[in-house]
Amino acid sequence: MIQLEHLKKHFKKMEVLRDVNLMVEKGETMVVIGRSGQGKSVILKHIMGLLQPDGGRVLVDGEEISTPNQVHLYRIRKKLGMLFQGAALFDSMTVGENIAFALREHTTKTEGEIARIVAERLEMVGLRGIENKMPAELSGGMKKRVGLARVIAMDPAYILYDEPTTGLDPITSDTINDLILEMQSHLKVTSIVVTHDMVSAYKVANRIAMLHEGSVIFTGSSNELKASRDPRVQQFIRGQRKLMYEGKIATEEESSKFQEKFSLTDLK
Amino acid sequence: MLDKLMYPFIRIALALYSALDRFVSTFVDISRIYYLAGNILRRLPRSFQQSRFILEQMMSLGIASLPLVIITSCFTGGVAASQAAYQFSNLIPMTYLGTAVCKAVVIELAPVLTALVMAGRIGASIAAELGTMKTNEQIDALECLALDPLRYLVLPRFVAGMAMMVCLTVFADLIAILGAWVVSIFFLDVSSNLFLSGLKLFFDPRDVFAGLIKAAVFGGVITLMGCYQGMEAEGGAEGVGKATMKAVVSSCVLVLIFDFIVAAVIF
Repeated sequence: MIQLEHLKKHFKKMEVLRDVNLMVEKGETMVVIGRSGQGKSVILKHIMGLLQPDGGRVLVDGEEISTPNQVHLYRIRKKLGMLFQGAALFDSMTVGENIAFALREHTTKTEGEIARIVAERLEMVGLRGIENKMPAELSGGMKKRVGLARVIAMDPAYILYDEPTTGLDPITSDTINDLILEMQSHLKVTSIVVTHDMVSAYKVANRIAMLHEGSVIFTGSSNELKASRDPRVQQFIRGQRKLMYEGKIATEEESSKFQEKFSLTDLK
Repeated sequence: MLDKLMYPFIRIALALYSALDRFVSTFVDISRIYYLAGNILRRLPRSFQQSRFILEQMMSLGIASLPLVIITSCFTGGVAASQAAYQFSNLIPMTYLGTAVCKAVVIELAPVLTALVMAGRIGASIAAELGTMKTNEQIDALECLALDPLRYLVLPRFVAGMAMMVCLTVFADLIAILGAWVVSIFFLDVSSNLFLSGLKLFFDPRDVFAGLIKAAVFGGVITLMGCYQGMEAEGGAEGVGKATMKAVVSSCVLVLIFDFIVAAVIF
């Protein structure tokens, strides 16, 4: 289980996370949605221990990863895997070496066993036989799939996906969505997916959390999200610039009422 | 009216603020470099575990730099000989030409000029490579695989940089003296025997040793600055460019500062 308790973070003078509280249960896929720049990826970096919060804490299976004094940081990280937005493959290594890297360093497996695992993981993501290709030779979708193969090579209990479908065509996006679902069903991993792609969110989520102005303003299932009466949620999921009220575009009077109530500033 | 009167004072206040900010950030940089150096030295005893990566770096940082070192040190030796001969003319016998060239090359010219050339080559390449890895989230990806970037990226470069600077300086010493010998024979009318006898006259192995200690220190400084600036790079191509520039400039300045410090300690 991953818990985020009263997480706060600011960069220079910009407050990105005000008070984020979130609990991700074992085995579920939690999708975090929100507008660009709301701090969704920052949440993932806190869970990985790549950033230290200004306040609050992050617990992974009850162990705090967010403290700078965590001596078991790398042990906790071995439970986690993260798929980056740009895949972040090591461009000086081949695809096979990318996937095998952590296995070589963390395990005592023979080269034969490692080669078998690499081939197996590539097969799982639908890219058999590309071990000797360099990352520069791959398309965006292939890079993400290789990135996922690298993540699952170490059999993590949790996988964090940072905008897995951003920049991909709808069909490749759907392939990635299917892979996220397969990871959950075959490998029983717990997943946190950060996205603003609502098609992807509805397809892969067990629960959805919406981040707005540094706080989680909604947590619930896809159907609950669709039925939410919160105008900020409706505005986001419908992709409309203007606020929604009772299923219709809000009047100026209603808009100003919401803006005042929720301190919205960036709508015009 | 008041605005116009206040304008120079506002400019001065902003300039002072910016100077203070730069002063503070320099100290922050120094403390971070000190912290990075401490972390590298702490991991140094177990660096043999990274021997594969160290060998890779030795090839790319050292062996690939050999042609550049050969060209620069060949001309350095030639210039040293002709300048020494010019200074000696009618004052000092040419017997001492070999001595002067040998001392100048081994103690000062070969280690320092090789380091300055290497600051441009390997300092820039390390900063650009690590800077690109940082901005493309590859360093974060390494962390996410529970692998320590200092152990896998910084330590091998640091060890390889120190070791290869020593090797390259040995080459630079030999090539520079060879260059000086050739220039002496063909351009300065100094016989080979005269040059070589001068070379042997006051030859002290401790001078070579001192030059190599300098080379090791310079290698450490160049790779440390390259790694630090690369790991601190932010903001895409522009950030990588700035990191590379800072790595080269700071390495060159530090090479000269450490040249003085090491010389003061040894001699």
